[in-house]
Amino acid sequence: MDYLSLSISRALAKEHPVGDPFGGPAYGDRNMPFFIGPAIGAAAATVGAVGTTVAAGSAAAAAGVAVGAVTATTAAISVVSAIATVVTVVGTVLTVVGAVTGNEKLLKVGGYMALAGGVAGFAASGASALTTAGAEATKSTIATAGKKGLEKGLETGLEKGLKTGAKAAVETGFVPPNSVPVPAATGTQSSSGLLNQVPISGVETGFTPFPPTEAATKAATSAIKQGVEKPAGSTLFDTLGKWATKGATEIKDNKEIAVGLLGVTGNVIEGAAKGAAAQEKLDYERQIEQDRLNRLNSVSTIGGLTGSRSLRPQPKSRLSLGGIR
Amino acid sequence: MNPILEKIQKAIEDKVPPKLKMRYNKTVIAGEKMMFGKTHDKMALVSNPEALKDIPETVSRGVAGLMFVLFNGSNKTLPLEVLIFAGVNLAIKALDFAERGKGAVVDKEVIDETFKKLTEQIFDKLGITKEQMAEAIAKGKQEINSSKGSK
Repeated sequence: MDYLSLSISRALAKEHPVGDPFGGPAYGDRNMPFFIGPAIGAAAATVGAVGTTVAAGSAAAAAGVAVGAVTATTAAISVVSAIATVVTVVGTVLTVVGAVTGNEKLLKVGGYMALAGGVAGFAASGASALTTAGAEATKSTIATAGKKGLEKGLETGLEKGLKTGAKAAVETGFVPPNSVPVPAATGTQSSSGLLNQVPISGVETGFTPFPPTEAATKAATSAIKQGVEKPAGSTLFDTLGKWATKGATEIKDNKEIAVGLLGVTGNVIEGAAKGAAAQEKLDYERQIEQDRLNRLNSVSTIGGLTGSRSLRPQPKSRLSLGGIR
Repeated sequence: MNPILEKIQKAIEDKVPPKLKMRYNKTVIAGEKMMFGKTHDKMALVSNPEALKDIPETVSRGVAGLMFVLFNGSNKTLPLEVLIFAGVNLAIKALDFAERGKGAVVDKEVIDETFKKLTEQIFDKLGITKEQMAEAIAKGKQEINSSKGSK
């Protein structure tokens, strides 16, 4: 068997990105395997996981999954889009074959498939946009709620703990009652003052100088838990999920919406194209008019009308120089 | 070429989006080279006389396999639309070869059956089951009927 040099192989690969002219694989690719690539295999597996309805043209399932697993759903939706493209194109092919051979069944099946694929792709793109928005909103919400919960927990816990500690100190007689300051709302500010007044020897008498820790931990944990489990924006996220599901279902269930939306999109694009063309034409006409005006303004009226050059300021000649010469 | 095949080929080529036309042409050329180039003698229609008995099965299976060799050969960058349109064109060429080169009968029924089977093969390789496809078709049908009913 004859082999091509690396440079020739590269050059051929540029001209023939799909296989080289000798029937082998493209440059840098292996000669095997003769089966579908892992990407498509993985895609098919994901489609199976998302549910048969997804492949069948319903992106509602995909949108529903968004509530649980945003990343997986995004991948699934992109797979749905790919599958939808395949279904649409194959449907188109079958329609063409059916129309040419006069096979009405094939024609109809092709039409149904093309439509199902189109609706699936359309719904998937909508669901994808909504899922992304939902994911961003959720991330932000959880982060904010968690942070707030943590702050609140620390504040409440520390305050509570400081009060308990101060009380205990007074009760055990290590601190005179009047010397204990009332902790302020922000525990961090008052804590240094209080702790400075609590003698370290309190440990020996059973007074723990850091009772706030347990209470603070509990309160903080509780607050954080509350913040994470019930983020303030969970309603928003639910709404987004429901909205995505509802939108996808409505699009799926109501062809008029899909057709209408597609029509509107088409009209907008068409209108924009027409508008752009008209604008270009108008700009061109304005340019011509402006040029004409510029030309007219560049000459004096009489001179311009008569064509005489006598009234125009004449450029200075090199007479003087010529005269000297 | 068979006039029916010719018509299908022209109609399919008209459906290819202009921006994908160049890739489509290159893919078809690459596929033709693989079918009729150095490895031509390995083609089932040539190497296996039994294959001529069931043209739709032979052509659909061969072309579906070829499509995914092309897909892999492009480092999986080939758009699926291009792949399918090119696959249809290659199936037409294989049917033409079977008819003119091997004397097989290629009529409307054979053509219909070939493309039905090719569709099944493509979906099978993509992991889409017949049940899912049947459901998709039923849904599409429902959409059309509901649209007709609402008008």
